Amino acid sequence: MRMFIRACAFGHLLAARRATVPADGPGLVDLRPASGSLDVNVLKPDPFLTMSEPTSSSALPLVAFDLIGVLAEPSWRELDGAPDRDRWHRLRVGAIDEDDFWDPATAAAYRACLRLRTDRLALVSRLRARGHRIALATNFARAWLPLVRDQIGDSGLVDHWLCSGELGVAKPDPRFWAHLRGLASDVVVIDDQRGNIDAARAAGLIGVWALPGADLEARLDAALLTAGASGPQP
Amino acid sequence: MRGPVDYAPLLAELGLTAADASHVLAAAAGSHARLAELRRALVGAVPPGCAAFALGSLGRHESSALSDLDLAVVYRRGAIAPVDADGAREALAAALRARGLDVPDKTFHSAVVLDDLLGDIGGRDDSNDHLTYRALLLTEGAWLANAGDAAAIVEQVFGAYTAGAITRGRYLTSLSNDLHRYYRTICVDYRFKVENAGKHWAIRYFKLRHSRKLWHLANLAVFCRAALLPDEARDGWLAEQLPRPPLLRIADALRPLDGLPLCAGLVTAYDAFLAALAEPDTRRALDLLAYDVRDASPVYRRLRAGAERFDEAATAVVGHLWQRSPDHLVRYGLL
Repeated sequence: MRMFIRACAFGHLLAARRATVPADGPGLVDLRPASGSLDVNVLKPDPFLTMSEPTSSSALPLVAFDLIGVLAEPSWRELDGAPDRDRWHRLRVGAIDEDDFWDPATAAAYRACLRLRTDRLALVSRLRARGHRIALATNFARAWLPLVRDQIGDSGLVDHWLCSGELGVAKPDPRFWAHLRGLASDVVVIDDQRGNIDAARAAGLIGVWALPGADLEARLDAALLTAGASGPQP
Repeated sequence: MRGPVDYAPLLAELGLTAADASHVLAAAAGSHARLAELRRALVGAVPPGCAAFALGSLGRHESSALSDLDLAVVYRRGAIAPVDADGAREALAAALRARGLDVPDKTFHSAVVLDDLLGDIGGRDDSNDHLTYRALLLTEGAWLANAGDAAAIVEQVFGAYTAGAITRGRYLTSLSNDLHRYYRTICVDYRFKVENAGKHWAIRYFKLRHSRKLWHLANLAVFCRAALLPDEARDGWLAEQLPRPPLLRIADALRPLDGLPLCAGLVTAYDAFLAALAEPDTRRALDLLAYDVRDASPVYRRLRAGAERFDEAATAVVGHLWQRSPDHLVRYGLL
């Protein structure tokens, strides 16, 4: 059975590489409504995404991606001229509403700026094709989540959505990791904050630091090998 | 840097007050506020596959209201037509100028293809401009539009060095050599601009003696520190450090080497330099200053004395690196 899963995953890996790796390198998916001239092709249902779903297996490690700094940009702080971290700490666990966080114009600008990285979405697609379940594990405002969820949720690319604004607890709090631990016995966490990686490891998860400039896929593959249940490696 | 640069912990460690570094602090807060305002204003200003950056003092979070804005637009080949990328750059520059910003059309006058920046590093067609883009994107590139594309582009620039299977060097000296090369290039470029191109000399001279030198010192310090880290930790630490403002980079390099107190002299000397550049009268005086009569200028004498204090502080840092990371400093910084 395990051999069969691996064989299927390998076939899908090859298909994924053919189908989803952008020929011209990393790019972005625009999260704004598709009414303009923006490229949202990656978000449209495609045969690859449909194909990748059946291979998802609970026998393989769950891969949990951070959002800002890993799958998407920018951080709210980069648009706020005088960011207030205390208010952010309340917003990110749902203790205040966005109206109490910043002004409507900045809120609108942030929504317009927020975009997913197509290079990273391609990586997620390849993992799905190998049979891994995917979680999005993010410290993020509840009010911003629909923007992301509407776009990649429909594609079936993400199996589990763990948003601090919905959970009421944020990374690196151990209670956040407990939610992930409840989803799978083996969980690999990808995050751009080293503090979160340390905390995830302390909670018994496998951490992969998404440091800039490094080959994230290679580091992730190495971590999946460590987890001992990876599909075939590229 | 996601948010405003926070120098407060460093000042506390150094026993300095906010008044000792008021211009460093003002530049950091003002730069972040300017960047945030511009990002909000420039939403959708460049098409997907293309990113806009502020390089120079704004990218280092050291700008004042008088600073110009080095606008760089970078795109991936095939993602957008060159004419559209250039058009986006022109429209962006016009929008920034309409907001009162000085956007020069010099090195960064047109959009550049990322593949061209990375495809010939060290080769015959690797121009000074390409070197400039790489060095500044890695060390002082703040995104203005399309944050995700910008992040991917900077990662690819760093990755161009780390991925060199044969040439990267254990200490990533392929990158440190390129940063050294850029520093030497701008030092020689000063000669051309002043002697041949008829540009004003004074502000350029003092930038070389302060901000450019600090940038170079920060790179030296960071690579000397990185050489002492375990191999598996080195690239990540470098990637984390290089985009940080030079004073913080130097502090982070010296702290574990028991040299942090040496940063105090750098901070105060640099603060005086930023104070001078934030004064319109000082800039005007420097713009009008003839080289032959420079010693008669109080502004020149004040800035020169500041540059000498800065040199003393920088020399003390290099002396400490000589003691604590001599192998790397000599083998890779000098030889």
